[in-house]
Amino acid sequence: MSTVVEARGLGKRYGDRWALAQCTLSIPAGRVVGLVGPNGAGKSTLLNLAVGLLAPTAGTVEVLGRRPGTDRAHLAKVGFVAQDAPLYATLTVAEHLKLGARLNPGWDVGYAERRVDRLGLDRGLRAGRLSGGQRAQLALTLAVGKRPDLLVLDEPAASLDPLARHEFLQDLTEAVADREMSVVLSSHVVADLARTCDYLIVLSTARVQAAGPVAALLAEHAPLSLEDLVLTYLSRGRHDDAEAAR
Amino acid sequence: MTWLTWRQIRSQVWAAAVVLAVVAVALALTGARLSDLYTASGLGTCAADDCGRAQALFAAGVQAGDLRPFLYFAGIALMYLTPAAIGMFWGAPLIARELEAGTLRLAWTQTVTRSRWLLVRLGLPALAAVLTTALLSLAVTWWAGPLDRAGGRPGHDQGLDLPNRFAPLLFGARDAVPAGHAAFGFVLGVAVGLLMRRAVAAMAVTLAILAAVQVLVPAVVREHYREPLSTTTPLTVSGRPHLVRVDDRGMEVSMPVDLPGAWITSVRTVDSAGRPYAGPVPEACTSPAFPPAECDAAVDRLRLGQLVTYQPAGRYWTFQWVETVGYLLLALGLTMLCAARIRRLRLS
Repeated sequence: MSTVVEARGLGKRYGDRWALAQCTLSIPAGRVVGLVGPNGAGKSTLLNLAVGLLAPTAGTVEVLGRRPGTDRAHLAKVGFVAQDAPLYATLTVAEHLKLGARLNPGWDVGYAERRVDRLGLDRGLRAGRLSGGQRAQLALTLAVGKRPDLLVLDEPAASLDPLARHEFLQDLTEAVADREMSVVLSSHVVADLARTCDYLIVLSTARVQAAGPVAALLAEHAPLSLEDLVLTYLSRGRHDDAEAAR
Repeated sequence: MTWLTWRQIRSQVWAAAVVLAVVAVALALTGARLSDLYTASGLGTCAADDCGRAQALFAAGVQAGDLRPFLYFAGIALMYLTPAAIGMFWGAPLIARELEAGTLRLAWTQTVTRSRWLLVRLGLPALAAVLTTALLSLAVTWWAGPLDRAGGRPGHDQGLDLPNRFAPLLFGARDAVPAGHAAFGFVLGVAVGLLMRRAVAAMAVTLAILAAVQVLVPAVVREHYREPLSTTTPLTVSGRPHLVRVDDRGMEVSMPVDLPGAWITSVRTVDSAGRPYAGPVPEACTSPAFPPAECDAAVDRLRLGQLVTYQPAGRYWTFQWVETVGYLLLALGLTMLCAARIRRLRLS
């Protein structure tokens, strides 16, 4: 099985605090992978390292077989929606599409235009005046519009209300369905992942507690629901830490 | 990237263009008359000794226009404020605001490397900053040209008594220096914003640093670009304009310095052997019982000299280029600092 993200002993330290330590994991290609874990488990740090926005303090991470963010060719292959979906507040929706087209040689004009039409976004509206859900949708349009091989989403639905979140994830599933694109998304809401992902990685204090296809994990631990399953793994991780501390 | 940068700076560029247009119109409407006055007064062709009359004639003509003193000083202020404003409003928020809004995480995950991003994001506004300031300086220098030339001609103290273009106040507000200063101010703002990560705080710090540089460069740095020349003239004061000052520390005697267009860096009273004069003070100058003429005669008998150190008028352009290139090199150094920092910048 080929992998899109391969981390070995990966660590990131801020001052004397490790945001991520000793993380070793493989993320398989061709799947929608959910990265689940409690707040502060280092999910966001891991994803920022994977897209090259952060440089590791220890260990290595390879994305699509290369060190991330080193050159244009590699940047073109990875799409990213950062936490809180940052956009330029003073640029309009149309200008964001132009930004996508100008900054990405592989830009899919037709897709981006159709998507904005379908979402009913007002092209003349400045991004600062969009709702949280619309902002996330526009950010996703930019990330998918560059036609990446790997799409990385960092808590894309975290700030959305339940309805907007449902629509966003539904939409993501459709966007992914007809493309040769691997997806990694992080969340601390298991229900979100259950709807969209077919592969799950449970991360707790930077250690991989469990990894595998959702269906296989469920079959293995029947009759637990996915929610219960994740909780079991997470509490097991916490228990291990307490042991280690002692 | 060029499009995005243009989109992000276009309102600033338009604002600069409006300022430039207003200044150009105001100066163009009044500048030609100033030039005519200079020609008519004969200041350009007068021989050293009878320039006094031409200076007075020119002064009378200039002072007849109400707006001219205002425009003269506004022009100087403009040339000092422009680089500071560019550093504060263009430089400091450039990266700091993107850090605050988190938009670098968007920009740096497009198909653009950080080095290219920085090159364009910094290069285009820097170009606009230098161009704007250079054009403003061109206009202001042209407008003030006759006044600055009058300040550099013999007998300038008998007319408007304005400083010449080499004097510290004017030097930084004429010709090439403001453009170099603007480049430095802009990149300094960017660097401060990058280090502080807060736009408003970075603006304040940038302004403080630029103000300090504006004071320190003329006061401490500039005179060292070239070794100054010096000349000693005998202080034979009887019947000539002069100043005698007596206090607890001794006596200082000075006469007007006749070095048209030069930048005078120091004037000292020395004795006949060339050492700094340290007394004793003639009684004729300390006691109110003697008439002033007695004091003057006593001073003449001391055979004092006036030691003047100065940068001659002919070095003006050397100094202009040294200072401009100095600022540009500082800007380049700061740019490389920014580039190194950008490469390792942490974003969460």
